[in-house]
Amino acid sequence: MKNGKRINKKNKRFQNWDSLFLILIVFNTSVSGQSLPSWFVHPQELKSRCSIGIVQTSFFKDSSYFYAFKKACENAIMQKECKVLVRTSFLGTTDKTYWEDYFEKIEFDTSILQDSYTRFKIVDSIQTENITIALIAEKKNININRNLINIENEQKPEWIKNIPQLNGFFYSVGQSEDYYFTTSSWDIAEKSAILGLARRKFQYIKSDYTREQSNFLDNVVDLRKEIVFAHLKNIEILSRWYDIKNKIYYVLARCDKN
Amino acid sequence: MYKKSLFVLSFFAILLLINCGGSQTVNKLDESEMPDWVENPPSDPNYIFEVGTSISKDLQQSITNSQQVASITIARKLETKYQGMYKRFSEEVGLADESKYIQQITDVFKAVTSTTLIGCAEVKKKVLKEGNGYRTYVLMQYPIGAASQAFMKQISKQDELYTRFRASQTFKELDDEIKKYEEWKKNQ
Repeated sequence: MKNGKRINKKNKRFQNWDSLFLILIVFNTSVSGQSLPSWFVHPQELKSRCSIGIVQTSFFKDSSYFYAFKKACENAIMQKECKVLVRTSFLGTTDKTYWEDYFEKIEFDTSILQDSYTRFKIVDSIQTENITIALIAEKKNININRNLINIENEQKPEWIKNIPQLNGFFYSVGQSEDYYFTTSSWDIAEKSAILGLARRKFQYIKSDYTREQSNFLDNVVDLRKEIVFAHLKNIEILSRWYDIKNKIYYVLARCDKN
Repeated sequence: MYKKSLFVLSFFAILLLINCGGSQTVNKLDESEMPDWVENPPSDPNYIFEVGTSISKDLQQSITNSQQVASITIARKLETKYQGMYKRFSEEVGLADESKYIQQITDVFKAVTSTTLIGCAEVKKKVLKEGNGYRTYVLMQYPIGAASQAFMKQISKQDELYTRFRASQTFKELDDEIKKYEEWKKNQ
């Protein structure tokens, strides 16, 4: 509000077009980037076990903080232990591949959700016009990096090209398109990474491929079915990256092998 | 003063036109952007490597489809039942010298794969914009031999969960399909 007043006073002083032009350029660059806290972009830097909740900023700003906290609590429980079931089927033909069926379910213990609201504390939070992010942990006083990072200026991380392969962990990279709501994009990328982890544990594949060739036709019908089923424990979201060129959101996750 | 205002206004008008015009360029697949591992996948006696690629307007479909293509190629290497059929159909239409001989040869090839992959991992992935859609390249690896044994040892704690999975509806559906496949296998 104070800043707004200051700008209005300054506006009165602008008597020539040159200065106004310069101010407009400066204003435009300052709001173009999306700055997010370091703990959100690189959660692997956090020393203690934390969880992050991201929601769309609603009309009532305080409600957004509450929903971000609630979402972080849900994520904390899900990341601790969950069961994943995915069923996909494709129909491949000579010309096209059709997505026939897709079903996914991530189950976690919701009975402890109420208790988690008192167990977890907000360590830090940030609110922009579009998004509200909350960082939660069991202890409030933990060391975190509060620096803001412009996610659009971040260099392409190595884990995009080469998915880490370390003993004792499964790694997965999830991705999402640029949806209207940034929160949806980050959510989908995160979920996609979790499904990728499950795929590593148990994957049933069935394919029924038929090719009919003659001097008049060449038909291919490939019925493909995949079932992924896994019990995941101690999922960690390690890093996030936004590919501004292709408008894709990426999330790196890992979980215990055992 | 008037000239300056006119200059600034025309500058903004040009800026608006540029921003509102929208991009008309269509991204085409640039082969130089294709990862090296598509043509030269790595080789290791303890792993099977396979590449999957797919294009779709939907990013998730493009990725899931390319992963499935690679996984199925791995599964086919492990266990696949092939069946081939060759049909020859000949027909003569018309009379004497004016007759026409029509011949149709149909070759039907069928491959059924039904297997469980445990430890199938995505090691490299590249997503590119191609036209209005997304082109995904995925490199998957599957442990065989010693690597497979070590992996199974690590996830043996999942036994209890699989017991519960066996009791579920999904498993029944899955089991029926496997039984059908086993029956088909016996009759070969």
